[in-house]
Amino acid sequence: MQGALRRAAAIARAQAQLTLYWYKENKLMLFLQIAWPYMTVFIVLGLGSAYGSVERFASSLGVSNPFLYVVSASFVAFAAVGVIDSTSNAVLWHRWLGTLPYVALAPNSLTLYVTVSGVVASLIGAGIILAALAPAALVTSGIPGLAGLGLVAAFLVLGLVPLIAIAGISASLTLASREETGVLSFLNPLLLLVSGVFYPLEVLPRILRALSEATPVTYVVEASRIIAGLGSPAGRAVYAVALALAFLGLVYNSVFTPVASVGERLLRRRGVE
Amino acid sequence: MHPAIEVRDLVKKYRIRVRGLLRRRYEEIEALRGLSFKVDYGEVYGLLGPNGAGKTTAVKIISTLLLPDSGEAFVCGYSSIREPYKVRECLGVMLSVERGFFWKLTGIENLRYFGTLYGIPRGELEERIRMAAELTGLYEVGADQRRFEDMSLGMKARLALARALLRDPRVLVLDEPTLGLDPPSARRIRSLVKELAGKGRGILLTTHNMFEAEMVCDRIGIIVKGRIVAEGTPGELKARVKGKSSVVVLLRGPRERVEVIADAARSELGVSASLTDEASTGHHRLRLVCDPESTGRVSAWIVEKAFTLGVRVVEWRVEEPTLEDVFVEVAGRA
Repeated sequence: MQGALRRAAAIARAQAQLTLYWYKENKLMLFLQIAWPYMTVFIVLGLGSAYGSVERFASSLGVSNPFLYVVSASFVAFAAVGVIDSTSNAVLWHRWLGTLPYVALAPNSLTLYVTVSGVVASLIGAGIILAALAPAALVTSGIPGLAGLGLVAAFLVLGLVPLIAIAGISASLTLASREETGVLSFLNPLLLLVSGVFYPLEVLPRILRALSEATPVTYVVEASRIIAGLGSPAGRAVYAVALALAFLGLVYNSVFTPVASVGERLLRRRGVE
Repeated sequence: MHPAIEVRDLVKKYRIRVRGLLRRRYEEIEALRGLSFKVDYGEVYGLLGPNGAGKTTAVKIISTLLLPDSGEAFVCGYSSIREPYKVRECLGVMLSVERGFFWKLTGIENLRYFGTLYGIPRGELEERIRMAAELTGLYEVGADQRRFEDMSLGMKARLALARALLRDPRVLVLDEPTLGLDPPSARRIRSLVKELAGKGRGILLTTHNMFEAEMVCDRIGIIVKGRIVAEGTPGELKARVKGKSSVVVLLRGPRERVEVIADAARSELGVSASLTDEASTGHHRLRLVCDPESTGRVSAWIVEKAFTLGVRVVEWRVEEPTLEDVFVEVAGRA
């Protein structure tokens, strides 16, 4: 156990180093990562104002502070996409660069590498988006808005547990299948489509609503909605959302563990390339 | 004491997908067919073989990146199949020179990432990087502060070797480490390999370069179709063709016609023949191993055949057999 923790710490340090080097060498990407959530916020609010009043938008979403909701929902959307990208798609990136065999030569399982490096890269990515959106939350909603965004970030960390498991399953399948594309890359748009990030879930067909209940992003978005609607009896609802995320974490990780084990064995049988 | 590397009866088959006209077909390729050899500490063992002989498959199994269908591979006494993490702790691997690094990162940044990932303690990492970089001459060519994408192939080779040395491994596996390098860079890598073996490391080196194998390796295993067909020191292997002579003919003309001459020499004269191209001159070099008393007859036959096919004989000489002749002889029989 101690050995596994030591290995996890080494992977985390290496990934943090790599991510920071990557941002240092790709400054335009860093700028866009900061700018994208703002563009989304402006588009959503702009469209909302063009086709109706802000009050109508707020009542449709069921929140009292639509600005804070859109800001925090944008944060959740971009961070969730980042989790899949920095976990599942990262293995493809390693394969294309030819670094996959050298990453696999670390004295630990590739599953541990995928999981830990995915968590670290996702947290750094979410941290950058959080830092980018914090001024917007402060300007639109003051200190309570900033605190609300912080609370959403805490929920996102909880949401990372099932999200990383989903991304890990995708990574395992991608590695084992030796396809040149992310096997579950359709997950990204699907996660956003069914999570209710930018519109109420009530407008979705029943089957998509059922799918949305199995999606961790839905609950983080729900947390954003509750936080943006503070003043309503939020405490108990927030607690329920946290429980739902913990449950999903358990479910997805119990699937991820055997899939990763089989995937890694299959990969070694075919050869790490 | 256990050897640095021990490989016993490795068998590996691949299923290759071949697209048919209407449906997919699968072809089975036997990459390794009972491969066995040992490498001792302080020794450079060369796995010499043509393309597709199974060298890289063997290297991947030893390095824990591939599971065999049957057989065993041990590194530092640990099983590459059942104890991969222990094997990785004592092994340095260099698989490819051109890829395997982050393109936007400098040499040192790449080494720092892999060193951290491999679990080298923070207090030791910079010192290990400095030692590996000094040993491979990364500083002298300026590859330490240069991005990987801006490096020459020689610099990339040094960086790849530096990464393999980061863990200060007792065993090194180098898969064609000088492939594509210019002569000075290749010479530098070869002398480094000798130096590292001199410090007690067990080194497995794969190559299809006869000159390199003869210069660097203490022992050589000739691998053909997934099996060792001859093994020994370069001297022992050359003794296999003792009492023979090599007729070396430089030819100028279309390669297909020169290939016809080589094939005809094998079938009509019953000699071993190898054909290589000299890129700088555009000539084709044909080597034929035969009995010393037959050299005149073989030479006359070649000149006549070349004349008939419209190929020009640029140069002709008789030499002592080399490792290449051993390889051609052994591979031809296999």
